Amino acid sequence: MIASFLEWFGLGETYLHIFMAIALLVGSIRFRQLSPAQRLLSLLVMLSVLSEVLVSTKIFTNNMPIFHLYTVGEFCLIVSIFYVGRKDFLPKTIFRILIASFLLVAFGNVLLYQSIWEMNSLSSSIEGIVLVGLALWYFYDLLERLDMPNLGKSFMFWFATGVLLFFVSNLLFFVFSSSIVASQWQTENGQEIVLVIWPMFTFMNILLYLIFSIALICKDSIPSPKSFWSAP
Amino acid sequence: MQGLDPIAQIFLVSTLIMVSLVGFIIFFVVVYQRRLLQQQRKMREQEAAHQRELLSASIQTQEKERQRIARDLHDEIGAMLSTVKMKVSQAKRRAKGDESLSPVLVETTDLLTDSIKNVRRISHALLPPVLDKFGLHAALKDLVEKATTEEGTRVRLQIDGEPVRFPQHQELGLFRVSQEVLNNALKHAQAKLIEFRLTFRPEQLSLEIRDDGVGFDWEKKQAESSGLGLKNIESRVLTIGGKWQAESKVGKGTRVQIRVEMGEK
Repeated sequence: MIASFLEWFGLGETYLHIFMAIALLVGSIRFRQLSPAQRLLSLLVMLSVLSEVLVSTKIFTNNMPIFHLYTVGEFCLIVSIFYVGRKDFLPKTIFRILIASFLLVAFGNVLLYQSIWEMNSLSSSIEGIVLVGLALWYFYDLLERLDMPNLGKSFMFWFATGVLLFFVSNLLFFVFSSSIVASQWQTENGQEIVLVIWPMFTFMNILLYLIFSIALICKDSIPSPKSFWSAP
Repeated sequence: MQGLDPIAQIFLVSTLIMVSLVGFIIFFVVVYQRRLLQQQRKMREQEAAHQRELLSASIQTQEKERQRIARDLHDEIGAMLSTVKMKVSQAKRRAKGDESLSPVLVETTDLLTDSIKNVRRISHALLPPVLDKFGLHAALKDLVEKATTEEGTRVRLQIDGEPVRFPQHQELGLFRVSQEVLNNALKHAQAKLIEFRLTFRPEQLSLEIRDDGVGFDWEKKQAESSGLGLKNIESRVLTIGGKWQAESKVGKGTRVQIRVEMGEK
């Protein structure tokens, strides 16, 4: 049963591309009506589509540099959305520290630990931990302030939900599976396990872009901090 | 878990993780909505309390102003009119032989007597001195007596328990409500009998007013803007920290009951 279920996921990549295209389309069509935070999300979707296109077209023999750059771009954009999208949520100093520290970690990782041609698991994990923390902090803040009368129509709620679902499952999939893969890599199961994880990862990606599309449809009226565009 | 192969383990754990996450989001939304409702209810209560305070302040200011006008009317205008009447009487005595002046002075004296009576009546209506000096039961007796003589409808008062004094604002509030209800009954109810029942219990006062008039559709009247009298009664009762209930049906009269704890509000 599991195998047949996973077979369904064989089509996952195609579905993912459809959902990415939907998010891109929604963001592009509504770009003029979007709030600054939503525009940043739209940029994030564009960045994802661009990296996906670059990876799919196989222009480069090794795609790892794209992942390195994408991780940095993704982190900066998501943190910026949290900063811009919710008033008085992320202080400017913390925002700057987060961006600067992550840039330092990403470049340090490339220079000292995982080269640009290797999978950037360290910076990806740190990215996941920080973003999950931000999403949880956002939910706590929302519960404390109770300033959103209708969660279903809130762009930031959908955005934070997407971030939380994607990065938690992402982190746990890899942490959980890497230990099994490491112990069983030499056995028959080793490579099959990777084939199981990948469709699940794709499924979470599909869910993420579905949620991002909903977030881009929402009418967001939260004003952004005045100094944001000159902040970084 | 130990018996499962690694693929099933990963699949199971991953599914559990995803379900837990979705569960977390649903749980969050439920908790959020519940807290939001609580907050909204709290805000509504605060707003209602604020409205009550404003209303109370407004009624207190109104009562103070009434007291001032009543005092000014009684002490200044009344006293001045009495002095003028005295002077006119003196002039009347001096002008006894003057036939052209005498009728004018007699007429002036009559007019002055009427004016003094009216000033006293208005002043007493604004602030019944009986209420201030002897309390609610005495003021209601006075009100009932006057209503009977003035309108022809029978108005009765029954007092149960030993009359005690309540704080001035509560006595005044209940008196104003009685005036309002009586006024409504006389004006609109076409009642033959209006009964007041004042009951003194330890630390509690209860006032029931009923009439055998035409009655009205209570819910409809409350919704209409013309139900201003009812709103006034409600405001007064709230201001003195009392509770009230009323019932009325077309053709079956009206009954209003108010209960006040001593010193509330």
